[in-house]
Amino acid sequence: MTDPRAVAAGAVFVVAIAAVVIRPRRLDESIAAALGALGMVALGVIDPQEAVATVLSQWSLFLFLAGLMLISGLADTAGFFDAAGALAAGAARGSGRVLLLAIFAAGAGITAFLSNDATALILTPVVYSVATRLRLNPIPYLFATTFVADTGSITLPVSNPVNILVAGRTGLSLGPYLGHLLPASLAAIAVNGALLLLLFRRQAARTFRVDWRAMLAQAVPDRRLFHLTCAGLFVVAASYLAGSALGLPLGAVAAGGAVLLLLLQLAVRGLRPTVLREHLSLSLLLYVAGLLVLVRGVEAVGLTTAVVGWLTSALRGPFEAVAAGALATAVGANLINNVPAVLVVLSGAGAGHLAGPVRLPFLLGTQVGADLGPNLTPVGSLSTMLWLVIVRRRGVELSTLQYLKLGAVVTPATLLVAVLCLGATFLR
Amino acid sequence: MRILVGVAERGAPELLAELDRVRPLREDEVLLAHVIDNGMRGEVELHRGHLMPRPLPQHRARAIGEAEREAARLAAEEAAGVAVRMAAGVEVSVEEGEPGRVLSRLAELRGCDLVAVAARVDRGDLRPGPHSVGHTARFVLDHSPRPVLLLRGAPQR
Repeated sequence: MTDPRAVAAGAVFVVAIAAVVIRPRRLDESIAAALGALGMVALGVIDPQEAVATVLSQWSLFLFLAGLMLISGLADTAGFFDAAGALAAGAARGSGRVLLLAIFAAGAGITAFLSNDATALILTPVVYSVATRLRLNPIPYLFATTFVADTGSITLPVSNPVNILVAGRTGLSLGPYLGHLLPASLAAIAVNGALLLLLFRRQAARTFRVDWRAMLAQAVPDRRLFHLTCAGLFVVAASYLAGSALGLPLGAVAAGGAVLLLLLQLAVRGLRPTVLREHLSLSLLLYVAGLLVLVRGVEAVGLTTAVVGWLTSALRGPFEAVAAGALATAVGANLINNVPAVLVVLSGAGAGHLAGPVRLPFLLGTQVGADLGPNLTPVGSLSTMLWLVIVRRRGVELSTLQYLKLGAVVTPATLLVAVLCLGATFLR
Repeated sequence: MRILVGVAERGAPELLAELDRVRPLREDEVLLAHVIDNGMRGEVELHRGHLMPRPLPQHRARAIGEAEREAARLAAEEAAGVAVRMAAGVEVSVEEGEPGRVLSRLAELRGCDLVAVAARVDRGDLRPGPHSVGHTARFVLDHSPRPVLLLRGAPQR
């Protein structure tokens, strides 16, 4: 007989996730997720204490997200992202094609240490400004930023909030993490860069003239603040690496980095009282909290275990496990967005029946799929949705179908090389 | 004849050369209009606003606006430099708004006899067929109160 609690949990989950993806009447994603979480509690699927405990258990993730938003926002205020754009323009030496690669490389570096969202949300408008100022077609360059935001986000545990979630289950320190995922990351970045250059070789073929030093000077309103912020970001990057190596909670490291940058700004030019409100998004934190409770609800009635059990029942070796994990979250990311997709898979994988030699490959495959999969469609992640909006306004010659065509070339290619590289690390 | 020519960020010299081939401009007055498409910022704000408290900070919006105006100035200067060698009279107008809508309105307001637009800004593939006309040219074709000359041009490099 069907368990009414399971039916209620499944129905609330489906309706809430559908509302997050479709956004009826422009309903905020965070409100949809929070209402779904309340529904889980109201229908008795989980009790309020358990909902609170579920959210509090991910304190490191919330600290990480908050720290990341502040670090990125403060770096932006100091001109860090504009300087990156100016340096990319200078490095290109007048070639539109080299600029494409330079922006792609800058995006990969920024994504590695400041996350995919920083690249998508902050670097995208900067790249748009640079391309517009140089009178280049902005579309290839905007494509480069949106794709590298996802493709470059395998590199480190801090490159994508999804990685923090997976790291919480794998418990890998930095050395083993890099041992398994750095080859996959570098291969995916190389393949993506090469494909972008190939696909946009005509649109990016224009040349330009630029006084990049003047551009850089204009990008940096306060040199002292800029230099101190760069030093602060270097400390943050080093702390991330050290924290990952020592197994410290990365949320605490990110929060510490944010405090450091706040103090630097305070010392140089003071802080506006609105600084937290300007850079922190409570909506994002509410969205993640709502998703955590929603997934806990379907986990409590055994639905996630059933889904992941079905997915992993026939896995025999690490290659299969990597591929299954990657495929599950890559597809899930495009159906229900990458964060809920990963939460569902991790929840099911944590039930205990996934063990032995396939557990770690499956979990890391899950991360690879969730990081790279959103490039397939414009709804895979916030960054690609934002990108499409910008492109639609500027070019409009690019339809969703055309995006899908490009995504259909880039995403399977990057997924394939990443899965092969990751799988190969388990053969040693 | 008074001709309104829609000038984009790129390709104005090629567009004017093609127009001059189709209809020599030596006795015409040409109004070169570049429209900064400022709707993008609004839509970005709308979409980012769901998860970001300050979607586009003031300094960022300002930087985008400056870049757009700088590109517009250069495009208009470049077009004017070419047009003065061809036409009896040249006037330049830089506007902000939705390009198709603004061009259609300008044609009426400025008493133009003809509107000339490029089929697409980035004219990589110029074969007639689906998707060969960009959104701005499409809007002008649909809404301009004055006759419209659609120029497909030679492939850009």
